[in-house]
Amino acid sequence: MTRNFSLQFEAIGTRWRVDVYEPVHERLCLQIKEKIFGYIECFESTYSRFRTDSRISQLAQKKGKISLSSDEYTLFSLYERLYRLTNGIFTPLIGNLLVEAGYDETYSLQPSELHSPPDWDNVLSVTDTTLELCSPALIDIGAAGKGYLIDRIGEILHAEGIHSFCVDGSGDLLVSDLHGEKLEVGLEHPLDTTQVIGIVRIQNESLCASAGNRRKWGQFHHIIDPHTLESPSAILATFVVAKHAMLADALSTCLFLVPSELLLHEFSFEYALVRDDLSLEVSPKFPGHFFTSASSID
Amino acid sequence: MSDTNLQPSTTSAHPNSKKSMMPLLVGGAFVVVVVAGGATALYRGGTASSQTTTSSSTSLSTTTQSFKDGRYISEGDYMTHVGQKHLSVEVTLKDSVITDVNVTNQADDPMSVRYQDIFIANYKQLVVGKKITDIQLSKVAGSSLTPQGFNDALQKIEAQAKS
Repeated sequence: MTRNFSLQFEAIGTRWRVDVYEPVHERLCLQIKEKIFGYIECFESTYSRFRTDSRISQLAQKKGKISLSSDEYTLFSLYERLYRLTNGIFTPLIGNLLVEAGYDETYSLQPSELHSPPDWDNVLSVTDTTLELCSPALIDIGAAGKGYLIDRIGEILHAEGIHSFCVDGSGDLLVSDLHGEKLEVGLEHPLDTTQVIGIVRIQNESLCASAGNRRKWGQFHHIIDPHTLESPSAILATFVVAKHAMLADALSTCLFLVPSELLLHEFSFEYALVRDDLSLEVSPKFPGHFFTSASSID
Repeated sequence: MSDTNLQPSTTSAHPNSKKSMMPLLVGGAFVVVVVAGGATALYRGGTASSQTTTSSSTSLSTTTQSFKDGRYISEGDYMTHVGQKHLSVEVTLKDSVITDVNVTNQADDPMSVRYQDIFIANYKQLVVGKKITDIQLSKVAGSSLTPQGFNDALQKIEAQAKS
């Protein structure tokens, strides 16, 4: 028996949904589910800083080395590229600072004294097969890890011969071959989650969003600038469309931290961002539109 | 039509400006200032955003200055790592209120043209929301749903803060 199928689950602290828009044999549905869950378990047991037994939690206690798959290498080489480009503002070594701000494994949300993260070159070295810390540090891949996982789930589906799907990691999306159709996605209002401020239409690409409205405590939200030790407040939300979710996810965080010009020189993507006065900045080929007050000025 | 007014330059300094790490390009490093006598001049402000022409916290009409009606055109200069760039701003004034603003791309290299295009495409816009329930959508993109533990912690802190 074949059917279209949909898979919903909790992973890395949020809700996921995978929709397949083509008939799949019942048995294959089960296999795919097992592969996805197996991959996520492996990912979390390595990279979750909310699990004390994860590899990176261990590396925060005692220096050491972990081996990297070629996929994992693409993740850390993107991190390194963005680290250099942003002069250290975008860094996987932000883990301890997030914990100090209160975003820890028990969600204490109680800030303590804050310290700047260590310099990459002082503690971390990444080769195409290994990641090594020469002194203990807490790695956090929260700025690109979800996108990375979305891409891997997409690859699992492709490997099983399934090409028409949408992977939805709680509002970060990867879509593939929608039979010529485009997926219409509302863009959430950063100040009112019951509203949308625009619509994007995507196909065969990823849309990732970032906003400070959820996961917010005290003066912090989930993005903290390691130079200022503050959460950026000038930008309320970012939306990025790129070929892969890992890049879209990472850039949606970067846009909070550095001017878009810096990123446009280096990467192929479209973006929109909403500033704290609800003004917009939208790249010329952003595949969507916003509901704006612009008409009132004409 | 309050949002047709430009605000004086100094009130619009962007909180993010001190963190800007690049030479500021066109991403809105401009502040239009209407000077006495009605001439318009364009200055490069120390801001990192294009919000200056769209925000409206201070209305020119509330000042004691009055300005002659008419259209005013001025050119703005700004420095990039590939040299000085220009952009032209045209402002229409009526009863001391700016009723229209137009910016014209005058960049001479592809990257600056692109940045000026981004600025021009956006500088008038302020976003408004529509109820999700009023629109047909397949998905909504935004911040991730918050895990239970996080919400619990927030509620506890709230309770502590009240007691």
